[in-house]
Amino acid sequence: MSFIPGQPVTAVVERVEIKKLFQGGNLILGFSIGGGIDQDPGQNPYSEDKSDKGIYVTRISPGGPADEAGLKMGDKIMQVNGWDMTMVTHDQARKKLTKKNESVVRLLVTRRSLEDAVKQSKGGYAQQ
Amino acid sequence: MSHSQLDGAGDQAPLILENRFSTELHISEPGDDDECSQPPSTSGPQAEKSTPRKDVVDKPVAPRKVVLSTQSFAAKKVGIQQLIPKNLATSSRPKNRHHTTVVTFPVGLENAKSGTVAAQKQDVSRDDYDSDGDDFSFGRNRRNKSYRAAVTSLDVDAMVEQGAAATLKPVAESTAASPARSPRQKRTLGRKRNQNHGSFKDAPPRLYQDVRERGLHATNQDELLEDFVVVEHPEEDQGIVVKSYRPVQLTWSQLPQVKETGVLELVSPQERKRQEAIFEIITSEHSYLHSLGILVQHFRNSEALKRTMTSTEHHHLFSNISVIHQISKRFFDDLERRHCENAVIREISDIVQNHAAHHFEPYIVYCSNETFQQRTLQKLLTSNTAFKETLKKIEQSHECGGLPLISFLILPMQRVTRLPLLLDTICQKTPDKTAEYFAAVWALHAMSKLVNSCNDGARRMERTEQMYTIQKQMDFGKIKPFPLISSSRWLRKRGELAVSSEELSIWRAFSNRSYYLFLFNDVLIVTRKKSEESFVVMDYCTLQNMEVDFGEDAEGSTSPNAKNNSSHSFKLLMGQNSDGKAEQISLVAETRVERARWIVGLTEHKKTGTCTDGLPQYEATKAYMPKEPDELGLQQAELVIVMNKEEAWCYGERMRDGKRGWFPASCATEITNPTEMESNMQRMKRLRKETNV
Repeated sequence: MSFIPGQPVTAVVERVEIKKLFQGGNLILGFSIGGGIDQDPGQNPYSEDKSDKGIYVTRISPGGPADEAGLKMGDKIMQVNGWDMTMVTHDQARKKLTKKNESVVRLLVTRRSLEDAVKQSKGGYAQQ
Repeated sequence: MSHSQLDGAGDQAPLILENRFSTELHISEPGDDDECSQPPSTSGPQAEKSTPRKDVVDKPVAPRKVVLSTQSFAAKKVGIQQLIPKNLATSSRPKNRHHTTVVTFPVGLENAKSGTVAAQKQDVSRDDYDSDGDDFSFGRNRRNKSYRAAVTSLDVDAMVEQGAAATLKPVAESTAASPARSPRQKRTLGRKRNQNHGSFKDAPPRLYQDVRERGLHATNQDELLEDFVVVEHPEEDQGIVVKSYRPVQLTWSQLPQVKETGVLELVSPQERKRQEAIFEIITSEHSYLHSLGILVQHFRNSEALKRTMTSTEHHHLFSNISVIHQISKRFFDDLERRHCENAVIREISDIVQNHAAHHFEPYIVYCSNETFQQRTLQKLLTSNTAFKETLKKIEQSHECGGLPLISFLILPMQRVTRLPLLLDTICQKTPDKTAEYFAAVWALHAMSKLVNSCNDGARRMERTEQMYTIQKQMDFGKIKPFPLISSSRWLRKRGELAVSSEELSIWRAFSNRSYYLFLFNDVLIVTRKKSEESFVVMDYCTLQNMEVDFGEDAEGSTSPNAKNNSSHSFKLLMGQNSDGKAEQISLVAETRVERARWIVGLTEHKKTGTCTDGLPQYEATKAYMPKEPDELGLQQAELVIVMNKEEAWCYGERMRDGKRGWFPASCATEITNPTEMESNMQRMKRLRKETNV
C-alpha cells in the first residue's frame, strides 16, 4: 500500500456499499475517519507507511450501517461514490461522505489482508 | 549550623521572589543585630567546652530562644520535610557570611560536627549544580501539593540561628571543612550578584535537560497559576513547612516589566495563561540554546576530543549540530525581539511558522543521522579508552553539569518533538475563531510536518541499515533463499528461544536446542546461531501463514517432562514454510515476559487499531531509550496508554503518535486523575484529528 508521489497507485480494493441511517436528525454512516493531506500522517496507527496521508477508518460504531456493510477499522478509503480520496484534505473527505442528498455511499476500500489474500490465491509463494 | 548550610544554596532563586519577601522579612533584621552586638567573649570560653552546643544558649540577654541545630525543629523533621534555602526566605545580602561558616569547637564534639558536616555535604551538592539533578522528584511533589506552600513558607528558625552565629564571627576558626566551603561560597556569591536586572536571561540559565515545561501539562498549569499570584504573610511560628524545593522557574507574571506596568490587572485570566504559554516557549528556547552552546563549545570544538577519534567518526557523532545551533539562535533572537517590543506579546505564530517552514531543515538531517550517531558513540565508548577519558573529563566540568554527552546529543530531537505540544497549549489558550487562533493552528501544522519529516528520515535510515546488515549475516544454505531487503520491511524483534524438550526425540537430541528468531513485520525467519554475526537459516514463514498457539493452562500441563514449563512455551504453526509444507515448532521462553513479547510481536499485525478508550494511561517519569526493536522510546512526561502488563514490563501505545511497544514498568506511573485522563484523550484526538460521519 505504499505510494510514490507521481506514480499511479495500484491497490486491491473491496467495494462497500453503505446505506445512510437517519438518526438523531442526521444521516449517519456509523464510522469515523482520520487522515488527510492536511493532517499529520505520523499519528496514523493503521498505515504501514507513516507518510501515507490517505483517509483511514478509525472507528466503527458497532451495529451501525458501516459495520453491517462490512467496513473494518483500519481500512483506507480510496474512493467515495467515484470521488478520489487519496489526495484530499480531511474536510473535503468529510464533505464527500456527508452529502445530504445522497442516501447511499459506495466506497472502494483497501486493506492489507486483501492484498495478501490475492497474492496467496495467485498460487505458491509470492515474491515480496 | 543550619544557616550556613542554607547560605549559598539559594542563589538559584530569582530576584523576583526576594523582592516579594523583602518587606515581610525585615522583622528578623533587628533581631539579628541585637545578637550581633553580644560580646564575643561569652562565646569564646564556651567554644572550648566540650559540649555539643554551638549556639550560645545561655546568653544573658537573649531576645529569642536559640535552638541548637542538632535539636532544631528542622533537624528533627527528618524525612518528611526539607530545609529551604535561606535565600528564599531572606532579603538581605549575606554580610560577611563566609566568616560565619563554621563553628569553632574542638574535635571532641562529634555530634554537632557530624550533623554539620552531613548537612553541609548535602548543601554543597546544591551549590555546585546550576539546576538540581533531583528536579524530577521535587517537581513531582510540587505538582501535587500547593504551590502556595512552596513559595510562602519561610525558614524562620534558620534566620534566628543566623543571628546567633553572627556572634561567633570574631572567634571563628576555620576547621577542616571551612576553607573548602568559603571558596565555594564566594563563587556562589559572585553568581548571585547579577540578579539585579529585569531580563529573564540573567538568572543562570538552566540546562535544558532539567527543564520540564509547564506547557506540557495543560491541566496543572491552571492551578499553578492561580496559586501563584497571591502571597500571604507568613506566621511567626510557622517553622519549616515547605515540602519541596525547586529553583523557581520564572513565569511571565513574575517579569518586572509586567509587574511594574500593572498589566496583570488589565489582561483577562485566559489571556494571561496564553502569555505564560508563549513566554514558556521563549524561556525554554533560551535554555535549549544554552545547552546547545555547551555541546558545540565544549564537546564539538574540543581539540582534545577531536584528537582521540577519526574525522569520519567526529562527523558522524556531531553531524551538523553547529548549524542547528545557528538556526536555533536565530529563532531565539526573533522571539526575543518580539518579547522586547512589548511584554504582552500578541503572537509568535508567524515567527514559528516562518522558521519551521523555511529554516529548520537541518533538523531533518540531524535526526536522520541519529542511528549513525548512536552507533558511533557506542563504538567509541566501548573500544576507545582515550576518547572515554577525555569525554569524562569534559563531562565533569562545571558547565556541563556532570551530564553525559548523549543527553546533549539528543537535545535537538527532544526539542523538536516538544515544540508541537507547546504550540498546542497556545492554541488551546487562544480564543477560538480569531486571527491569532488560525495563525497558531497553522504554526502548529508547520511544526508537526517538520517533526514527521524528521521521524521519517530517522526511521528510513535506521531500517535500511538494519536490513542490509542482517542480510549479510544470514546464510541460507540449502533452503530456498528469501529476498530480504525491501523498502517496506523492518525488523520487529529478534532473539533466542529454546526448543521445547517435548519435540526432541532421541535422534534429534544431537541437533541444536535453541533457535534464533528474526521477526520482521511480514515474515519470520528461524535460524540457528553460528556466531554473533552469522546465522544459518533453518526455516521461514510469512506471518500471514502463521498461527501462534499459546495454551493458557499453566498448571494443568499434560507433559510428563517436569522441565517443560508450559506457561513459558508457545507453538508456531506454519501453514507454509520455505518448502511449501506445513510445519510446527514448539518454543520455550525464559520468562513470562519474553513469551508475552514474542506472542504480541507475532500477532500484532492482526490487531492493529484496537480501541484504546478506557484503558489505563501512564505517564513516563523518566526517559527510556529503546534497546530492542519492539520497545517503545519514552521522553520525560510522555503519555502512554497501557494495554498489557507482564511482570516488570508494560505494553502500550504512545499517545503522541500511536506507536506501540514495550517499556519497563518502573519508568512510568499511572495517571489516576479522571479529568486529566479525559483531557489527555482530548489532546490526543486534537493532534490526531478524527471526524464522525
